Amino acid sequence: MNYARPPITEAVIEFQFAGECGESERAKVARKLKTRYPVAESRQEITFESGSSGANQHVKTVGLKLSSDDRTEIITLSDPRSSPVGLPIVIEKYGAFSASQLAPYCGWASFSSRFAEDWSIVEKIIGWRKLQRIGVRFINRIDIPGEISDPRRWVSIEPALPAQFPRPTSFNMRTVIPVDSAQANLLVGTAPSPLPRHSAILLDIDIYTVSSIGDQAGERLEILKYFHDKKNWIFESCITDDTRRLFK
Amino acid sequence: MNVMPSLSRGISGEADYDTYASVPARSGQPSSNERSHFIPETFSETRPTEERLFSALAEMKVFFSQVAMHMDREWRNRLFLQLDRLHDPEEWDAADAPVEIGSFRTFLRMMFLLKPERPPGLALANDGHLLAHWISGRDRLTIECLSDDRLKIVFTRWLEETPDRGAIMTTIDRLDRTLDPYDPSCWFQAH
Repeated sequence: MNYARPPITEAVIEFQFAGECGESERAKVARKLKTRYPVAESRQEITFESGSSGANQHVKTVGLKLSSDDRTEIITLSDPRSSPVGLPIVIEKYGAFSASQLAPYCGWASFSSRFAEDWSIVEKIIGWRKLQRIGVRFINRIDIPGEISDPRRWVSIEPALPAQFPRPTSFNMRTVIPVDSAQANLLVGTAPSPLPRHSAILLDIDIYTVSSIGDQAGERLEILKYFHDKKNWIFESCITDDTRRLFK
Repeated sequence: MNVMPSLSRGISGEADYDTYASVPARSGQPSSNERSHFIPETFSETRPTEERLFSALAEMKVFFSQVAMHMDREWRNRLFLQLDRLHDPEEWDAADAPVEIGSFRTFLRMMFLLKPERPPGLALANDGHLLAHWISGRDRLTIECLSDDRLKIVFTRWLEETPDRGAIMTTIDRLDRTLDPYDPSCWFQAH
């Protein structure tokens, strides 16, 4: 369903891949995409080491973020990162290329084709990569006038509590739903609204797969489209008619 | 089956509310409580003014995106242009402070409640406070947006050939009641 005022605060498409990108490759990406994304920022990781001989500081560039002038269209290209202190904790196992669209959301056709165009440029520069994960994520914030006295008026899911408990006025839930060979992370919860005299419910839907990812661009784009359709299905299943009226 | 599935990394931090702080690795977001920072590539350490202006503008535009679905697109474009002009590095006095995000937040929340047909002119006051002003002939209204929804209002309103002048401290919640005796439609309605 198309809404006049969709509650999407951020849409993300992400490809994760093995291997790093060099600093020169990131710089090339920034140059190539400068017209669409004139604002370039680098992501830096700073590590401190201290020992008997004193303290050392290491600065390493691990990612690139490019934004449009109005900061609503963003892409990032990040390296994998592990714990800097030698602990066996992997912070980000794979490198990633992601495109984000902040509100106002421009629609899937426009967003997905921007991603496809940008990825084809990035892939030419960093070389073909085997994808480890494909994800499509939509963060929705439903702004509700006044207080939320009964969440069921706005969303069809809420925690199942013992019958003798009063109805919850705020909650946060995270569920993982199998979607064929993929999975959907669904985060639902009440939250503050940035609008005066409003409350909010967050509906964060992230569909991804780590298997059966094709090697051809066409196959990968088909997966994205399928995830988008499933995202819409999950979203529509989670909201009520009262909520729909808020977006019209 | 993944016990702790990863999520795609995002930018806005919209779902960074405390309530979700314990959820690891979402699509489009760094996967732990650790956060790294993006640093503008175009600036060196010798250009602190540009960097300050850049950061202030970026913060305001990203904040705007959180409420963009409730705002008129045409006004958004006009507002961004006004903000860019206010923060032009070529015209900038190093002693000035860019618009402070708390003031900008108050301004946007006020605009959401007011929904004026005529958009305001903008200027910058001391301490990074945004000034919104409406002028209609001899009738003038200036609202200084402070942080935490507080407003400082200065106005001149001619009613029956006699001017009323006032300076009032109020909040966005009480703004309509404060201005009501002065028939604010002369400022806010399109003529």
